[in-house]
Amino acid sequence: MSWALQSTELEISLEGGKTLVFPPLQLYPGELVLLKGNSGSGKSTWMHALAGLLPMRSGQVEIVGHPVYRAQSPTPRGWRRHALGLMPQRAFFWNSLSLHENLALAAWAKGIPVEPAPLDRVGLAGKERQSTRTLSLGEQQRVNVLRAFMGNAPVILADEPTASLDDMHAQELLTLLREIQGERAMLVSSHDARLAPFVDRIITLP
Amino acid sequence: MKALHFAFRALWHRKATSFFVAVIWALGMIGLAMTTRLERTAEAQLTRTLEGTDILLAAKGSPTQAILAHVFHRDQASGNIPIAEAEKWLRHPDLSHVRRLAYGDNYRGYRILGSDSATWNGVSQQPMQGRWPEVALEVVLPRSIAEREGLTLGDHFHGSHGAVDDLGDHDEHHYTVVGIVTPDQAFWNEVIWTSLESVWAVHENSTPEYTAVLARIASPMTRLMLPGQIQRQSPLMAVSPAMEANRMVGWMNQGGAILRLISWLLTGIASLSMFLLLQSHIRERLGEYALVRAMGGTWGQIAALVLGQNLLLALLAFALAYGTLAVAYATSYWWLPSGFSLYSDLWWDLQPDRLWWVLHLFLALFAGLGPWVWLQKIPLHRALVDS
Repeated sequence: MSWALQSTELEISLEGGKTLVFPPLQLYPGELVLLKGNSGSGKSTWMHALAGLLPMRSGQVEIVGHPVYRAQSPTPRGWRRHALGLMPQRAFFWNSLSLHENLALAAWAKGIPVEPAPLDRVGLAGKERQSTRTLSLGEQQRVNVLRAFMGNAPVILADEPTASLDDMHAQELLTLLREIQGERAMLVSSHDARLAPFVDRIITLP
Repeated sequence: MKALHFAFRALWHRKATSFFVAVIWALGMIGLAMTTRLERTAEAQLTRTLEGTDILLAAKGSPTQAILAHVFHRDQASGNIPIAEAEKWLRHPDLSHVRRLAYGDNYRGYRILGSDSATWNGVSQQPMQGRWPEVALEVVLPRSIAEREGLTLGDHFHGSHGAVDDLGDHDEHHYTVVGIVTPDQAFWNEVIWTSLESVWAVHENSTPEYTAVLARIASPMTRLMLPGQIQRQSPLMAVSPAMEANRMVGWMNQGGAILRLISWLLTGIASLSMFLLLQSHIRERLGEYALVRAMGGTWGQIAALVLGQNLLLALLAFALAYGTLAVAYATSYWWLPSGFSLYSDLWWDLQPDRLWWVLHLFLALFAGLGPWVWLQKIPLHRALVDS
């Protein structure tokens, strides 16, 4: 089976001179991988490195159908737009915008046309015009999922998606992720043990 | 357009502070545009009014007062001058277009100005109703006075002593309205014209005198020398209106410079406020901007979001300033004290102020550059993790 994302060993220099080294990684289409580790173990840093959000000292990341992202080089043009769907731990919605406008903003940033979001599928039908600040945490995370899945990126990186959710909402969210994942490869970082039954593979960071 | 929509929503989210900044910005624009327009208009109208008047003979006193009293008819005369003395100088071969004035009394506060036909011929006007005075005690009214006082052709009235309305009446002398005109220079709208003979007839117990004489001097050398000669050799005051006008323009420019300084100060405060407003917005929303980048948004798109907010603020300030200026210019006829008017062609014609509009737009964008550059230097990873 061919991979959707392949990365060599990545070496990252952080502020203060600290260096982190992450092992090689391969993600396959349709696979949901849990990146497990305690707080401060570097889960978010690895995810951000894979997404080209912080410079690497060595290594390279390749996503199927897209140019290779190499250390010491700028992120390939349009790479984050089309190769990746990013789901940050905090949703970072623009409170001045409605739910629909927040999705439109994401579409504009990704350079893709705004299409009607399947809000009914995530239980948010009729809330298009509502400000995102009035949504519950569970609802916000569902919109976060919709936003990450906009476009046809083959890889989704989700950082602590269930961190602030209770059991019921966490289960709802994970079920949703599984339902809409399709052939996308997903890497989910978390220290949340509740995710284990939903994933195909677990990588543990020391 | 989408960027402007998102920028607008971001501004709307903090509408009170945004509006406040736009108001300060607008005040700066209004101050700069208005000062420049007032100075230019005042200078142009002063020059135009003084055209053809190279010398003014009047009773000794303040030259500025003489100009205001006898050219703009806005001040009191400092006295009268003997006809014989004035006529002696008026025989000078270089003098032409001589206009003799004699202040009469007043009608309900409007000055009754005795003058000769040379003065009337110099009044630029729309077609008149009736005719100019031919015999004593005939008057011509500007349309504004006629309408305010309900006077029409053939009506009679009597004047009051002096230039104000409370010094007693000349009941025995009735003026007859023989003409109504619409002058195009505002100061003529406050004057009632009659002949010199009318003024002398009403004051039959006094020796006939002029109040002032205006004339053109053909030769530049005479223009330079004659006022001094008259000053030295006669009891008259000879004023060169051009020189006085220069002095008056100088005073106006000094006032204008202070106003301009205040306006620049307001503009500076507005620019700084705009910068701080945007900077604090970006600091508060660092994660949101970082995520736009993380999702693939380009620096151009971020610039559109950031600078778009300042652009919209500048447009709001422009709209506020434009509206205020349009109203101010259109109504300047009523509120400008000296009868100057800024109302020239079309009321919305703000072309002369375009320099200020462009400058403010540039400043608004410039105030957004700092926050935008700062945003570029923040590592995306840190912004997403720490926000």
